[in-house]
Amino acid sequence: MIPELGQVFLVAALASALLQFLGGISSLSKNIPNIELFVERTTAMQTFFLIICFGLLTTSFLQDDFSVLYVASNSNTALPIAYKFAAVWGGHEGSLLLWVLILAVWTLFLSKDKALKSLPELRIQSLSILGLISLGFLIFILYTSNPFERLLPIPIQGRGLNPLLQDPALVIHPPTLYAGYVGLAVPFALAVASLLTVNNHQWAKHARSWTILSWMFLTGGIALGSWWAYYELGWGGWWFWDPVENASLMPWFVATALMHSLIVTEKRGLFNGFSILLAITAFSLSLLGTFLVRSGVLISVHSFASDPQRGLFILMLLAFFTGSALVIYSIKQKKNRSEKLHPFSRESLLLLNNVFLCASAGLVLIGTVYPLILEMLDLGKISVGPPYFNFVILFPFIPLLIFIGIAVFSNWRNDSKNILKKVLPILFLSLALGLAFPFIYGWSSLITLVGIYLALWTMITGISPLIRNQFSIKKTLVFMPMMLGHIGLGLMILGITVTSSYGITFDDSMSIEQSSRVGDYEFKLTKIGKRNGPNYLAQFASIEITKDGKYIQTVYPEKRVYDSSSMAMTEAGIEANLFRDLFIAVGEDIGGGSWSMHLQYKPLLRLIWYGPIVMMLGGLIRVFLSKRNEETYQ
Amino acid sequence: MLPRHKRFLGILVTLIGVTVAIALILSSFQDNLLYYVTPSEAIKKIDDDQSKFRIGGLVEVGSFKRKDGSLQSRFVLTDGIESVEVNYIGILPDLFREGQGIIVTGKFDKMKIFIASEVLAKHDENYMPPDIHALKEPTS
Repeated sequence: MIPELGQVFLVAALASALLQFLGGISSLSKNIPNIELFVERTTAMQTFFLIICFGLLTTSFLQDDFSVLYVASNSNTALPIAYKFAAVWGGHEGSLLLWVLILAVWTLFLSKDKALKSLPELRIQSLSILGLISLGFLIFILYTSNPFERLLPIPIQGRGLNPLLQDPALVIHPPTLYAGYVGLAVPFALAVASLLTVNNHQWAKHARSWTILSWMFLTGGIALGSWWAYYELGWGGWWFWDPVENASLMPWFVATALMHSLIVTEKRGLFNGFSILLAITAFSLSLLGTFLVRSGVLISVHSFASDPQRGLFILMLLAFFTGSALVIYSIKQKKNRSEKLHPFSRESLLLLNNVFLCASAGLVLIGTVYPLILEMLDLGKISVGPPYFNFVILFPFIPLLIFIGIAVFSNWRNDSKNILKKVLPILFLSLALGLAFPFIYGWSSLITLVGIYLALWTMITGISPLIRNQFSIKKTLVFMPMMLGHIGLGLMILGITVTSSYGITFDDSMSIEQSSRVGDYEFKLTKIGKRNGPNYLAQFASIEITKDGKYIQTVYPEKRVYDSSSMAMTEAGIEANLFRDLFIAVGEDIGGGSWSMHLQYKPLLRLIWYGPIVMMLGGLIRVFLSKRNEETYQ
Repeated sequence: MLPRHKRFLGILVTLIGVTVAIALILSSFQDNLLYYVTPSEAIKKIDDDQSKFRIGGLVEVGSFKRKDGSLQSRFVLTDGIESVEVNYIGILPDLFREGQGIIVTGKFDKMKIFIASEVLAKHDENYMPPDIHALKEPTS
């Protein structure tokens, strides 16, 4: 009964989305009374129905209703209750339902945005476009990926949730990342709606907060994923340049560019066309990400052929939304108000860095998609590995980081006078501070030093408004989002540089009471044992870490075998503080009483995740605190 | 300097910069592509001057050897026609089994043994590197 009800509400949501779209679009040519209220109501209805749908699917999971195919494939009775909730989005169908639910929630919030009410046309059309996007995905769900499909005969037990997903960080990682992906639909809708209606730069003011909000979720989602991969996959890496990761990084680059471009469009009325294109690109890359992850192309180009419907459908949605947005852009976009730009004015520097961000996204795109295209055309199999990405990303990023610091000191409109004079002390300060690193960690390479300098440069220039205003938080509140954003980026770059240059990683064989040395740290295996978890059997090692004979900590890395599958999962033992991570993962029994172990010493690794947290904090302050100040200030 | 000259110089510098960047990126792209071959194709490449590449195949049943307590392992990778002997030092992935499809990255040494720097196996039941999936398909 419950799954059938879910089906009904899914169709009801589809109908509301259709009305929401049709209502909005029909008011484009002629004036319909009360249309604004109509679109508002259908938006609320759609969200309401989808929440019920999602609730019903969750109920099926909690009741272990294995007559539902999706529940049977992603859960079983032994699954702890928290993971039954997480299992709702643990598979393809449920995660798509989550996708449209999040879209509906964003749309609902947009419809509640009071500031937007002053532009009713823009408001109606953007809600209408969001309705159309939702409509596309609801058809996709009903047509190819229905989570409420029944299974006959009813199995006694479900297949269980993929053990990789049975982890607290992975419970919140997908919703966070999705909120970011899907949130980019809002600036997209506002940009296209603006082209269709007022066709000026007023949309930028409204799109800014929404872009920042979804950018925050995207940042958080990516950081969570990286953190999870680090402790769960057993290899102690934090970024693999895996296509799934790249799929989330590309929209992040473009959303970051959009966020900054919108500042110029709002404040100066410039780059309106560029901002619109960025909004379109950011959402298109989100759709591309959804396509890459959800179509199965990444798992295999062959499963693309075995289930062509899904991939093809998302590809069609992508082509439709991107294509029609670009067509509307080419027809409607008026020529930009042209104005002579001074090369060292704030607007020029922001434009320059946005170009570098787009170039980064482009380089990642090439490396991610090229092997897929080659294989689909049957031109041979290749893989583009981390060396490519690690190398090419430096080209846009080194100049990007140099100009970030200069941009902080620039002014609107004019070439900033004495910019060099203002910048030089900070340059020398970061050079001096940077020298401390080779003294602490030893000499590594020139590029390491450059990375450290750039990180410090970004952080110190980021913090400079506070110094200039005699550390008055009140006076600097308006700069706070920029400051935290740049400081966070600097911290992250510092973490990445130091960890990759000075980290130590190696595999060793260890037997009981034997030690292994990593840098200054001694790892001693004291015990190997077994323990029972709720739905797995774990083999654990007990490892004592000492430094210069001084006891630090005992960690217990595990190797788990879940009941529902034969595969082993690695739970690493980690001893971490702000300055370094010590990591150990159990390999396998290699005979003779020995075990293979994966050992790591990673200095400043935590900064890679603290950086994004600081960045997000900046976004949070911008959206909820300093927005009003900014209007009065600048 | 006249404004015209200034602009010309600007364009020239930009063009040179862009060209250099593109050249570097393309060459890095070429250097970092890993070609993926079957054991039969790999045999033909033994005598070539090599950069690293990947071989995908099944671990031959009964071929896995390891000295007790050592991280060094040897096994044979086969596609049913030809086979390649592989040497690897390090931790094998959780799902490394005889009879299982895996991918190794590395190159041949003088003894015509493939020295692997990386061994990839199925990641979990649902996810596997695309090449392994392709390998398994004809049998399933």
